[in-house]
Amino acid sequence: MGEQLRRAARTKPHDRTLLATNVRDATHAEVANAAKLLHFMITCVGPRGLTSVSVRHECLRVSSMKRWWAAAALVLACAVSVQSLLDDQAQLVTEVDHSSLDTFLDEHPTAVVEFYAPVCVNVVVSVCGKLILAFYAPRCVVCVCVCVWRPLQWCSVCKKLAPEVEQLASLVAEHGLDVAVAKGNANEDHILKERFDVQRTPKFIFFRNGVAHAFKTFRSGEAMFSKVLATLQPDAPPFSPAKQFSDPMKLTEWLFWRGTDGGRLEPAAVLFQPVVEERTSDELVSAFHEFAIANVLKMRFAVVTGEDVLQLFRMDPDHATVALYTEHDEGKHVFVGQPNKLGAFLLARLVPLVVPVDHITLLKVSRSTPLLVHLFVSTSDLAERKAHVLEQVRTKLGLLPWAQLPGTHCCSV
Amino acid sequence: MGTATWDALLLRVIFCFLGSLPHACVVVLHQARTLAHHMLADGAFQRGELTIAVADGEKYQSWLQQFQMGRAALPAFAVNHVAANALFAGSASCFQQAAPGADTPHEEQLAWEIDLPQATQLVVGATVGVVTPVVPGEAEL
Repeated sequence: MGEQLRRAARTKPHDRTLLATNVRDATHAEVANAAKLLHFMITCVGPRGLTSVSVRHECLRVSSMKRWWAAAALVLACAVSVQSLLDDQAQLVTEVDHSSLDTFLDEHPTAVVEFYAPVCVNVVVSVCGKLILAFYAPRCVVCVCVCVWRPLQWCSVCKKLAPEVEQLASLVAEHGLDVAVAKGNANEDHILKERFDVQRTPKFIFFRNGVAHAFKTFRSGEAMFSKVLATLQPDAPPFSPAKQFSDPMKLTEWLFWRGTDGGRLEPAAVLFQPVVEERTSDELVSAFHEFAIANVLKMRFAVVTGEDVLQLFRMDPDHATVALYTEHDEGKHVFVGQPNKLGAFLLARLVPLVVPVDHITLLKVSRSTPLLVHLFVSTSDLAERKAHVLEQVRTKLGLLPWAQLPGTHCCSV
Repeated sequence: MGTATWDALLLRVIFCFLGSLPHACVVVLHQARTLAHHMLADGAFQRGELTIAVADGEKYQSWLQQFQMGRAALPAFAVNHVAANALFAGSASCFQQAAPGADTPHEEQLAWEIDLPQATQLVVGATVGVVTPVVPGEAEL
């Protein structure tokens, strides 16, 4: 039965029905108590790829043996089989840290690494060279105390992500691709976290030939595998993390919409092209894509084509133009100059010139700039000015309807 | 009323909807941007080499203490040389009395304004080591 389980795990490790069928043929109906024990043991070991409920259910359905010792032996065999099954799965995903990652990459030029952490805050997956790195957080804070008994229990987000990465690993193994899968703790291994700039979840990064690419919409193992498969094709075009847009509304939404939760808006570099052309046909276009590949962790990238979009965004309709939309309120920065200066232009403007700060944003701002000039102002001074402004408005507007609402959009000062 | 007048009124009404302290914030940020552009135009710094962070000095008095300054010093300048891990406190000479201007709602000014040459001198002096750094206080910045 153990071999059956292992075979089933190799073929379809996440098909719980298949696993349950294999268990059913070898278990007994009168071993309900033993099944409960098995349930408990599986729960303790961890539910990765196999739910204890389905196993117990199938245990209760079959009837042939009646002796308790046989049932107990069977339970033990099941537990060992499940453990070995988990070990087999774990072997597909090797544990790495910042000290062993480089060695791992040397041994496996094509690999997938998954980073996890005990606090459910970060999810990042990346592929390096032929290597994929997945940063994620396997446990929520509440689960930490429970993990003494359930060491593999993860929070909902990480639990949802983990099978997908494992599925990617199994798909890669099934297709015989030279891609290894590993995982590391992004929250505990701060060196690794800093190295790959793990700040936000979920975030996926693709590395190819030592260069980072972004996978920001990784939703399933199949999707990830399809992406990897496409990029590994010999005739695959050079990978670029830039998104393609031709609809001005979609571009506007991508650039400025923070989402319903008002999340962070990352800076975006946009290449406005009059016509779709080869990347190497224009020096600026080529420089843009090279910069995008090398700096995918620092900003978002997009390529926009279409005369109407260029006209709407007031860009040159005859030549390719690169504009940077920063997260701080400075509008857009249109690049003018030699293409080899594009990278320095974009990187320099990632540092905000003037920005209101509070205790949350100060740390991020101080990390991004070599020289931080503080301007401390008094809110009482501002309050007096505000009262004066309101009085002026009240006087000059007269009977016109107007209202003042408290707001926080501007700045915290 | 002409179109321009209606536009101005409309802007004022919308302005009041925007936030609790929008105008004053705009004035402060405008002054900070003016200083930043002055330093860039002066050639003292290149783009990407510095950031001016505007903060509420009353709310974050611990930050002021870090620079050995108190609430009485507001408005205040301070420099955190992140690369050199050094803190520098500015003096009151970085600010001057605001020049009288048109006292209309959309041209409202603060009582003070940044003295651009003095503030630039402070920042440049902090970077070249002319200004004496302060010993950081207990509060963590």
